[in-house]
Amino acid sequence: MKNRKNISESRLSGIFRSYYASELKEAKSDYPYRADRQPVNGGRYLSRRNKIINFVFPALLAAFTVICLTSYRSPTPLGEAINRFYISNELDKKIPQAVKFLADRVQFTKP
Amino acid sequence: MVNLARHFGIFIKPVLGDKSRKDLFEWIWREYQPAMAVFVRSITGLSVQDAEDLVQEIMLKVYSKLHLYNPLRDFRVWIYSIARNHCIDRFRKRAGPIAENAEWNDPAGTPLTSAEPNPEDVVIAGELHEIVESYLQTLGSEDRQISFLLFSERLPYKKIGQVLGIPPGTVKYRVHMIRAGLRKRLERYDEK
Repeated sequence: MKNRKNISESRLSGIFRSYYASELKEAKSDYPYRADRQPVNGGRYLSRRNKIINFVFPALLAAFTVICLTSYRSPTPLGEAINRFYISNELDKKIPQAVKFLADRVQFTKP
Repeated sequence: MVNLARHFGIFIKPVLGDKSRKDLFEWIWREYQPAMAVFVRSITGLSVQDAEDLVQEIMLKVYSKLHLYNPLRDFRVWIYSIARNHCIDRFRKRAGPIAENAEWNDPAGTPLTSAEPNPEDVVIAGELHEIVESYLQTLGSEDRQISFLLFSERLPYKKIGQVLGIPPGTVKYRVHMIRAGLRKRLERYDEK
């Protein structure tokens, strides 16, 4: 090895730079960023479990609600079940009463 | 030119109408992930794997705070300040010290580099790499950060001072000491 006595500052800086250049090359990694995982909610990634909680469950609930509403009073087993539940709990009386109760208390002011 | 694009891309990208913040995040990741990994290791002395987890946390923090970035400030100063503060917070929570030198023993991680470097790495990186690496192990965390920010990121003393919260004069003195230390090490190596 050649003698490194009186080595200049720029040479020392060069040694450091080449060291860091090789370190940067080694440090390059695609982990953990993946294009299929979208950053949402202020940059937080959604895990698979959170995706189910955030999207799948609400979608299932919405679908169930739509089915219930459309089959209400229809001559299907589901429609009949809903109707039975509706009548047995006297919802056919309670809901109009509740609506009337709320409507009486809403005050419409003139603009 | 490459450096210019890297350092001013943060302004240019949104202006050029990049599709979304996701594109911006991808760009930040591409440009800064390797540097951030090395910087985090220089702060904490963690192994590559542990540092990667921290880098992910930092990058997501950067992404979520992008709206707070003041364009009048150097983006590198901003991003490295976030990284440094995040690492300090993490180690404060764990009630563990940030590695001041190679003797730091964290059960969750390994030192910056192992005592016996991988022979393959030695062959690839060469003897200078080995010398610099072993020298950096002996430095304190702050000196390693200064070394990285100056020699790798080429930040001026003033900006390094802003990241570390110390005066530029102190940075200059430390850089002088870091260079002197490496020179001494190289000379000692020659004498062997």
